[in-house]
Amino acid sequence: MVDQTTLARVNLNALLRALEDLPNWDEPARKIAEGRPETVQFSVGGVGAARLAIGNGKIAFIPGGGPCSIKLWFPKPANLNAMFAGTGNPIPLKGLTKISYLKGPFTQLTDRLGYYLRTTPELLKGKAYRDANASLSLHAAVYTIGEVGNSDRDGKLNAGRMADGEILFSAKGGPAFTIASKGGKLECRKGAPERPRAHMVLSSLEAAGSLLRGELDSYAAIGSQKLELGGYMPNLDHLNKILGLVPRYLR
Amino acid sequence: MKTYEQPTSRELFMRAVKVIPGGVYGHLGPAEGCFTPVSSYPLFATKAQGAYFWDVDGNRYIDYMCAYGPNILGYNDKDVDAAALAQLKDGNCVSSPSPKMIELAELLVDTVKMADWAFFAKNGGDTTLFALMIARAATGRPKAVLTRGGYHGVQPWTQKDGHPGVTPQDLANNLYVEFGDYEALERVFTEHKGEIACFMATPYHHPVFEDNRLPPEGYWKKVRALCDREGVVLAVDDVRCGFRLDVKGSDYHYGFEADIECFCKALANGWNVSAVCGKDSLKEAAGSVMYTGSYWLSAVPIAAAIACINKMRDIDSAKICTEKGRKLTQGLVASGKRHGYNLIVSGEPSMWFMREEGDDTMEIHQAWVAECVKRGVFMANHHNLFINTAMTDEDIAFTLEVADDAFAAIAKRGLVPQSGAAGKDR
Repeated sequence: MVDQTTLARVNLNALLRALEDLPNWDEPARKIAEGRPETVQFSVGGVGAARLAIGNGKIAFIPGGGPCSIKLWFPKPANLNAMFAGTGNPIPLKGLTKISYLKGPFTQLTDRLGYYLRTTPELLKGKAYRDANASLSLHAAVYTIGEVGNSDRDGKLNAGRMADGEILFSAKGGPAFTIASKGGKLECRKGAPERPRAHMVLSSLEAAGSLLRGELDSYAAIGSQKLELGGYMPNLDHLNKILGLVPRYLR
Repeated sequence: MKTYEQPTSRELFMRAVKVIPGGVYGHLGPAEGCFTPVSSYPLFATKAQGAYFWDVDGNRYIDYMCAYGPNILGYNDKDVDAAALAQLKDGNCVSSPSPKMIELAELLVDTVKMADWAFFAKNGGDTTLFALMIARAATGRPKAVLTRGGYHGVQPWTQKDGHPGVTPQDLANNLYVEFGDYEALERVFTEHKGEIACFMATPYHHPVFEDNRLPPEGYWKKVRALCDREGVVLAVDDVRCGFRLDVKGSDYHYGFEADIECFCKALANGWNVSAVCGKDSLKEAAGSVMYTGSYWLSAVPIAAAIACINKMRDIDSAKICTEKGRKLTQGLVASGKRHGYNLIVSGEPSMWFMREEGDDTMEIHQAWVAECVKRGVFMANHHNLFINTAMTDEDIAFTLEVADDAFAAIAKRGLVPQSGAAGKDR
């Protein structure tokens, strides 16, 4: 069952955050981000806020509300989810004169992200596209794990069983992330942990993409050594249960 | 020391995964079996004999998992297999059961101290669910008290909330206490007075990933008295321990008497049959529960079980396994010490659990076990291990040589224990 609050948290803190990685892979996105600097805040009732600072060819995701040039308000989680589904619009609270930015450059950026996340067999024939899809999907998936583990009913049950410690989740030749559990809560961040208590390492970015696109069965990945697991296995076992919930929220 | 390679296992796995979920699913597979790293482990076997199995690449392993328990007399034990094959000639799965079924029930009643009757099924999970249903039928109460981390199979009621395929409703009648905490059990009985049908636990606590715990002194006698006082059925899940601690039952081994006792694994040395034994007071309730399966009364495994129990009684298999286990674990601990590792052994010697001290990532133990497997000693790093009676002193000596070489290998890689280990699984 998809919980609307969890879905809003995923949309806000995982999908929007994936925009951070977009200019690293996509030249048009980098050029769009070179335009007029803007900071867009998304505030969602019952969920919280986050900002995207766009400028100098980069996109930075900033958790929480604060200084911004455009502020968008979503009274309920379902309102944010509707916007992501293309069936709803935000309420602009600040930057009313900048609607054209939202409809123009900002929409172009989200369209570029959608281009890489919504694959087609034709697009996947290109290696550069596959790598971008893998990296952006991995980015979105890791942060979704955190939101699902802290918000979804089953996710919370499984995260609550995890011992304190940090898990390395990475793809060789690609990005590395830390999934930290403390007191049954998860926190995800970029970069490898200094002393991982467990690891979940994909053999390549190609393997990561195949796994996240569902082309590679996770058991096949383990058995064929494309996914290496090790360390404190109870935490990986619980994490795996949360991972199993991720596709519900990243359709 | 030469190390193994298993290319054919890898090839077969890739073939399997196309048509079988998980390739090799469950406890024998690389995921649930915690094959870390997978590259050290065989994935398919071609044959087995005595204490060994051979993988599809022709590598021989001394098998300390014993098929996760069923192998107690050695693979292909000639007496057990002769009984099974003789029965096969007469018939197996037939519209009327074989009288062998009565013979096995009589043998169990004569062997297992608490048993007044016996009922047969196929797997351990069949028996634990039946025990629960009997308790409910007998008491008219819905709830079961279980121990946290206790394993009673894979049916939804035995799993955890939030796991795939499990609903909160599946677990609505479960209450949980820590194994060995009598006061907690008494408290739960008081809080749910008149609602509890049974207390189900393993004879001692043998969860995965953590030290196994023997029952505290006097624990079971107090539990027995509490269950009597509150009218609660005391069900012992002896699926894993059964016949490895005492052929008369693990409740007998720990000095108490269960109302229901569940057996599987070692019952027929690998032939597929499980059994529930019970007290007279529950016989009518057991008969009232509609419970059966397509192959549950098949005669071949029943004939095997008769031969297996007779042989376990004749040779005192539990004593043999305990002595061999003690000798082996003492040797393993000494080997670890020589290389600067402190191997912590817990549980009963015939089915001990081990881990490295100062290894809160489990990586040292995983690495050492993997090195042992690559040298022909098959073990799991997360689960208790098992002894069978076919293991010889030479096998133990070889195992200790392998252990030594494996410790040397991980020491060379710079894997050293850490102080200040972090917390465990919640």
